[in-house]
This record gives sequence, structure tokens and C-alpha cells, in this order.
Amino acid sequence: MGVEQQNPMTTNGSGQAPEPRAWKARLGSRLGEKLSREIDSFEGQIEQKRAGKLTDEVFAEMRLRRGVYGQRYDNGQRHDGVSSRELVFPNAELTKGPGTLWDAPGMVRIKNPFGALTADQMDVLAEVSEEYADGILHVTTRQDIQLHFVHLEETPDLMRRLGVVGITTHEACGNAVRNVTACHLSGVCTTQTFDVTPYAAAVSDFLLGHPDAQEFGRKVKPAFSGCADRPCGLVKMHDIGGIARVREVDGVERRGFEFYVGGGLGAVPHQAELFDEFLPEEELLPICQSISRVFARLGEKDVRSRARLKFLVAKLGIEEFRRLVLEDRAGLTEDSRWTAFLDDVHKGHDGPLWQIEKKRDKLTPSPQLEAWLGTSVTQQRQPGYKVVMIYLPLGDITADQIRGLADVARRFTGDAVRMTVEQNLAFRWVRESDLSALHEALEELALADPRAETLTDITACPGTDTCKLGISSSRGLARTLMDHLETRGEELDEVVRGLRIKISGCFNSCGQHHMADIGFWGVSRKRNGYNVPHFQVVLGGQWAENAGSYGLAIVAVPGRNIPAATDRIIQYYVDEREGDEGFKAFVTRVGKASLRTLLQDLTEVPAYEQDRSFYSNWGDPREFTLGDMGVGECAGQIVSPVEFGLQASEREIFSAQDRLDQGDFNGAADIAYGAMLIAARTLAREKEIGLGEDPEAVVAAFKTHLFDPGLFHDPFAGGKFGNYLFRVHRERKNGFEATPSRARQRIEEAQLFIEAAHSYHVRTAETVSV
Amino acid sequence: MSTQVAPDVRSRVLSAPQRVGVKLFVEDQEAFDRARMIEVFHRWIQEDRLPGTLVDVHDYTHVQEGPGVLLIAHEWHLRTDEAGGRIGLEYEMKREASGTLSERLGEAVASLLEAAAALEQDTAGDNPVRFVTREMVFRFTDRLAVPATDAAFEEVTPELEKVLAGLYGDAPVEFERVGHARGPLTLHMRVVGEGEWTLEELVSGARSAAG
Ligand code: HEM
Ligand code: SF4
Repeated sequence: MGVEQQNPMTTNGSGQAPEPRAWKARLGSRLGEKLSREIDSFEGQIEQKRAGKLTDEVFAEMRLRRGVYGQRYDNGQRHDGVSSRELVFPNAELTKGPGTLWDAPGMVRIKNPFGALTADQMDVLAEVSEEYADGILHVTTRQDIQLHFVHLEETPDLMRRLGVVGITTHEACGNAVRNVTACHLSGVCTTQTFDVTPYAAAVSDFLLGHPDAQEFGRKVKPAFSGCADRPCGLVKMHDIGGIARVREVDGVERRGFEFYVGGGLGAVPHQAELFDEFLPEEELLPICQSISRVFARLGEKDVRSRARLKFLVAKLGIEEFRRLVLEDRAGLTEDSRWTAFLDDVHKGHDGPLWQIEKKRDKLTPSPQLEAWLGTSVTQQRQPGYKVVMIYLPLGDITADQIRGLADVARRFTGDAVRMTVEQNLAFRWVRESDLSALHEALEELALADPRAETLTDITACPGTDTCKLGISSSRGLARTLMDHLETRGEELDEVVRGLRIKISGCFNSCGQHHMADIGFWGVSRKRNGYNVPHFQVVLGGQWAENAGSYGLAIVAVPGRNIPAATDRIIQYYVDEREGDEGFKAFVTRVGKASLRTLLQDLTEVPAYEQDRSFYSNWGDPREFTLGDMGVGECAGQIVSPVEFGLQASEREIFSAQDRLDQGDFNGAADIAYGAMLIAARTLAREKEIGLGEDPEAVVAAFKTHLFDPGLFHDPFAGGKFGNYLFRVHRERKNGFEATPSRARQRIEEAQLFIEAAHSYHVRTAETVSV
Repeated sequence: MSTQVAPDVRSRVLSAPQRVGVKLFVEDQEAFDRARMIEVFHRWIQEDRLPGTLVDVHDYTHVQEGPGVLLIAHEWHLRTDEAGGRIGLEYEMKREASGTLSERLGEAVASLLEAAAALEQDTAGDNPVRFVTREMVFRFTDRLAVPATDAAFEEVTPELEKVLAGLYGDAPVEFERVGHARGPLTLHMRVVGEGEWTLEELVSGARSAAG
């Protein structure tokens, strides 16, 4: 390894003594004045918190807005496999949020609009990751980067160094407009209508810190896509999304967007609703502004689990929501920024970044190169150029690797690269003649694995590794599955090699499992007196058409058996598919029932004494516990146990609906009843801490503590919704035969009961939330 | 005495770093069992095997030439580092360091050697892990205090020599600057003089030197 040329954009020292001993002084005017002031102010707030002049809640919101998150175990408790232990930090008394210790390692999320990264940015990211974090940069499913194990007090310097290369963490978290994502191929894609990059950039710049986008009850995630059919933009799972469209108006071709609102994953996934078939480009920013204003004004603020835009759109209905937005739009004061960016867009050209040389480099054939060319290199719309995908295992890349990649990017792409929602990197504008040399350069960095966008390129959220909400180990399972499928390698049928597997550690869906062919999300099940980590199997989600539909939940399987379950699912598809039937179509045809039967025996958990491995997460020898879960602070406020419980009950409604669709009416009615019990128990447990799961006891406790004192009564409907529970409970005891309409009615009643539970929680949130 | 208050401070490049990494290589690279390290590190947390606030274990074995298995403590990170394709154990002092540059270097070296000795001991039975004792890699992951420059290299090597004299006595050592120019200042140290040292000898040398 030789020592190579120094690059002026790093924040390394110049070597000319004396150097200032603080980053603020050393970076001086290299950091813009506005950003510099903003970071100074954050540093001041850290000091104020230290001095006890800010409350935990206020400070938590301040840091989250700057992308500074908590991480698992930051309440100072960790189960070490034998017992729960206290983590004793030097500043034991100091906190940086409710129940969040000052010294506990945290996460920093770095916001990169549409996942673009320049070589200079890669250099500085390498520096900060090795100095302040654990030497790894983690690419997320929303084209962000995360650093883990960062200390709060080091974040201002980290931000300053990133600021020098134009990166901000501002509004990467918190109840704000999050990173604006866009297809990583925009600008070079063969199927694009036009390049959405400048529009994504304009929305990102315009809404960052915009006064109308500060008062949300929850985060807003925007996304753009250059075409309707491919998945890269995933528009339909986003709060706000635009698909590029052109339309002829008075003989002139005009640009605009097929515009969507109110999509989202999470506990209650929603497909976005069509807001406008053609939103002209000049209306993009004002409409985003008005959506922000309407959301800020009318969106739920108290109950986090109902606060996303999707709930407001569902509550008002798309017509009413559209009417309110357009009414607001009509009253907006003109802002020159709405259209200023369009001049550049229209001046912009789609042309090559490089001259193509006549002479073509002869590819020196090797099996590695062949495999890589087959999976990792795709056509670009501009002839002579290719897009090269770089596979990052679980989205992770080391500081050394990304520094090396910065050199490779300078040499082969003319600089910028993009992160993808599948946690990889895309090199665009690579000359065909450079492919062989690029492959060689990537091999030197151990980054030439030809797995990108194949079956073994598994997406996973951070899960129990670092996330406070993680139940099962998404990354542990992903690692195991990757190895498992990789060793099967050649024997795997060609038709399954392009399938996608995506894993989330809990129902929040950060791993985007709903859109995978094969998705898993972590749940816990009580078996043989122990909590056992499981994954809910979700099949047939649609990755194409911008995440056009979500998958079907089949059954929960113990984590240990997921590799076997995956093998079976794959084999079933290989054996039983008809003609060139796609996986989604196959799942729909064979149906949930047969897939459940296929996996049924794998749901068994052997006795603890027989096989202890079932009682641990993959990659973690500690006995499984739910005790390490903390309260999620991803967006400012704290998720209370009540909200978790109510979300769980809603998910059951979802499954009940599924059962109904399959014609299993008794099953559907049973699950709906179970959902009501979960909601009732969640609320009653606040009054009776030790309340167990026995239905009789739950209904009695609900009656005593909530119904009889009139607390659960609806201001208009009185005891109506509470009575649903008593009636259903009675019917169930007396034996209940479900007809299609009775099953449907029961689901509707359960839904209303849960709504009433939410309302009760809203009414009393002041007194019951943490 | 602190290098920061030395009379010639204005002409010096370095100050005492908050962070510095020291790595020893594993002898038998082929036989090294990554999965086992996860268990060992979890056990170390249960047993409070090393000084500090031990927080968690993190598995990066899926990353080629990455940090391997990481044991995170508030004060330091310990990893079965695979940088450069050569597996070793790296101790990186992360925070709460005090003292002069050489005191901190001494502390980091002693801490690494203790962790390595613990690993040798705990794997002594089956497929024992053994370390190469005549080589180390130093990585200065604090560019504010130790920039990755030739001037810093010139200044830091005598400090390291002082620390290493406590381990290897008079045996001469040599340093080579390795890694990427934009990477942290990274030095590969080899003992060039005659002699064999066991890990235990190095530990006791380092501890008595670090006081
Ligand atoms: C501290 C750790 C995290 C917490 C507490 C957290 C929490 C959540 C919650 C509660 C939701 C559901 C939101 C809703 O629809 O109402 C969610 C969704 C999501 N999060 Fe996270 N998250 C965390 C980390 C991450 C990470 C690391 C990623 C990226 C890898 C991520 C990406 C997403 C995505 C893609 C969704 C769903 C898509 C959407 O609705 O827009 N999250 N997260
Ligand atoms: S899906 Fe759950 S476990 Fe995974 S990162 Fe999101 S909140 Fe955490």
C-alpha cells in the first residue's frame, strides 16, 4: 500500500504548524456562515442541556431535528444473556432525552437528497465514520447514511466537517420533511420520461427549514420517480410522490407529475392516493407547500401512531384533502423560488460527462468479470455508457473502502455516485471501455461482489443491532440467509435469482418488507413458557410499478426456521409455477392457505432443553428477551406502550380482513375479536399493571376501569363501542357461527372499537403518555 | 511532561489524541473463527472481563476487510479487524483519555495487549488464538491532534519508540507509513532486532511502562 496524493477537500491537517486545536477554528470560513451558526447554536443547546437549562423533551426534539438519534440500550439497561444490567456511564445522572443517557452511544443520520454523493463527500464521510463512529457507513433504504455508536458531544464537530462538503444532517429525523428520494437511475435511465433529479433537489431545498413545514405531528417522506413501471422511486409508499409525465398543451410539450399523497408503510400500510394526474412542474413547489400547511394545520398531533399524512388523507378522503390543499394554494403569496429552478432544469442537458474514446479497452475475460458484467452492469440511455451497481452487504461499507471508492469515482464516473433504496451504490456514466479497469479497481477494494439486486442481496433494517424498537434480529437473519443461499448458489434455479428478500426487525417496516417478493418482519411469540423470536412471513409484495401493492402475511415462523421456510417457498415456486408466471402472480394463484400449509410444521418450536438455539436471535447467543426494547424516539415524541398496543390491535384487523378475503369467515371473526381484546387489554393495563391475557379477566378489567366509570364513552355515541366488546365476548362464549356478512360486521365493529380506543387515548393522552 | 506545554509547542504539529488504534495480528489467519468471537465478546460483557463500560457486541463479519466482530465500550472499541485482508485484534481508544501523547500511547498499547492476552487465555483449549508479537499497527483516528502528514509521522515515531522500549528493550523497531494518504496516519511497526517475546512479557512490560 503506497501513500497516495493528498486531496485538498479532506479535513485532514495541512501539516503546517501551528494548527488550531479545534475543528471550528481549523475549518474557519470553509464552512458557510449560515450552517456554521446553526451548528454553533446546536452546540450551545448541548451546553444548556448539560447545565440543566433545557428539559429532556425539548432537547430530544432539538437533536432529532439535527439527525441525532438514540440507539438501543441508551436507557442504560441491557440484558447480557444472564441478567439485565445497568450500563454505568461517567455522566450517570445526565440525560439527552426522556430516559436516554447522555453518554450512551447514539446514531447520526445524514441526509443526502436523492442519494447523491460526490467524491469529496465520500472522503469526509470516511473520516467522520472512523473518528466518531465505528468505521462503518450504513446506507439506508431511504438513500440516507447512518453512523452508529456516536457520542452526543462529538456531533457538532462531525456536522462541521460534513458541512465543509455540503452535507447536512438537518431534518434527517424528527417531525419534518425527510430526505427527498428519487430513482438512482434518474437522468440515465432507459425508461425515464425525464430526469427527476432537479425537481427532487428543488423540493428538498425549498422545504428544508421552511416555516410552513415545521409544525407537523409526524415525519413526511417525499419521493420521485422517472417512470411508472419500475420500482426505483417507490412513489406509492410515500407521503408525497411524483412520477414524471409529459403532456401536450397547445401544441407544446409540458412537463409535470402524476402526483400522489398519503402512502406509507409502518404498522398500517397505505398505498398512496392519486392527487393529480398531471401536476404541472411550476405547481410542484406551491402544492408541496400547501400540503405541508394543511398537514400542519389538520394532522393529528397527540397520538403519534395516527399522525402520519396517510391518516389525514384517509380521514378526510382524497377529494376533501385535495379541495383543502387547492384552496390553500389559491391563497398563497407568490414565491419566486417556485419556478426559479426551472430555468436551470430547461438549460440542463442530458449529455455525456466524458468524451468516449475511439479505442476500446479489450475486456480480459475471467469468470469473476463475466458474473459481474451479468448482474452489476446495465445499459444507460446515453449510448456508450453504463451504470454499474456496487453491492454493499446489508448497506455497510468501511471508511477505507469509501475512501478508495472516492478515487474510483473520480477516475471512472466524473465524480458523483448515487445510493440506492436497496442499500447499494450506483456508478453512472461509466464508459464501456472502462469496465474492465473499473472491475479491477473494485476488486482491489473488495467491492466487486456481483450480487447487487439478486436474491442474495438482502435488504434489512438495523433491527435489534441498534434500533430500540427491534424485536427480532433483521440483520442477523439477513446475514444467515445470505450465507445460506450463497452456499446453495449454483443449485438455485435461474427463475428465483432475481427475487428480492427484505427484512424488518418489527412492524415499522423500515426494511420495506411489504414490497419484497419474500418479506419478513420480527414478532415475538410465547412458546413453552419463553418468548421466542419469530418472523412474520409476507409474500408477493410488488416491487415493480413504484411499489404497486403490498404482500400477503402468511404465518409467523420461528427465526431459526426461516432459512428452511425460504428454501421451501423458493422450491414451491420453482416446481409449481405455470409457464413464465411471476412470483406475485404465483402467490396470488396458489393462495395463502396453501402457503401456510407449506410452512405449518416449521412453526413448531422444540422444547427449550431440546434446542436452545430457537430461543436466541440469529447472530446473538444471548437468550431472547423483550426487555431490551425501549421507547422509539425516531420522530421527536415518545411512542407510549399504549400506542404500541393499539397498533398491534390494528395489525390484527388487517389479518382478519385477509382471512375474510380468503373465505375463512370463522377465522376472520376470531381474529377481529382478538384484536378488540388486545386494544381493551392495552388500555386496561394502564389501570391494572399485572393484567394478564385471559379474555375473561381482560373484559372484566376493561369494564371496571374504563367502561363503568364512563371513561371510554364516546362524547356522541356514549357506550356504543364499548358494548361491542361485551356482545362479541358473549357471542364467542356461546358459540358463534360466522356467515360472510356476520364476519364482515364483526371486523367493522372491531375497527370502530379500536378507533374508540384511539379516541380515548387522545382524550387522556396528556395524563397517560410517558 | 505534556507535549502541549513543552517550550517548543508552537513548532509542533501534534497534540495528545483522544483516539488512537493499536492492532496486533493473529498468527493463524486461516484457523481464525469469527463466529466464536461473538460468543467470547458477549461473555466478556457478562464477566466484565476488561476495564470500562462494556456496552454491546456488533457483528460486521459480512463486510469484507471490515471491522469483523466489534466489542463496544464507552471508552474504547475492540475489533477483530480485517483491514488490509489481515485479521488481527485492534483496540481503539475512543474517549475519556488523559495524559500526554506518550502516556496515551502507552495506555492504548497496554490495553490492547491485555485484551489480546485475555483472548489467548479464553481460547487456549480448542483452536487457540495466538498473536504475532513482533508487529503492531498504529492508527491515529484523531486528525485534529495527529494529522496524516509527514511532519506528524516524524514527530510521533520517537514517542512510539519510547513506549515500545518498555516492551522490547533495546531491540530496534522500524516504522512504515501505510494506508491511503487521506486515511488516518497509520504506521506499521516491526521489531527488527533479535529476540522473542511472549504476550505475557509484553503485557507486563507495557503495564510497568504505563505505570
Ligand atoms: C432508531 C431507529 C428507528 C426507529 C425508532 C424507526 C421508527 C420507524 C417507525 C415508527 C416507522 C413507521 C412510521 C409510520 O409509517 O408511521 C418507520 C418507518 C420507516 N423507517 Fe424507520 N425507524 C428507525 C430506523 C430506521 C432506519 C435505520 C431506516 C433505514 C434503513 C428506516 C427507514 C424507514 C422506512 C423506509 C420506513 C417505512 C417507509 C415509510 O413509511 O416511509 N428507519 N420507522
Ligand atoms: S423496522 Fe423496527 S426494528 Fe427495524 S429499524 Fe424500523 S423500527 Fe427498528
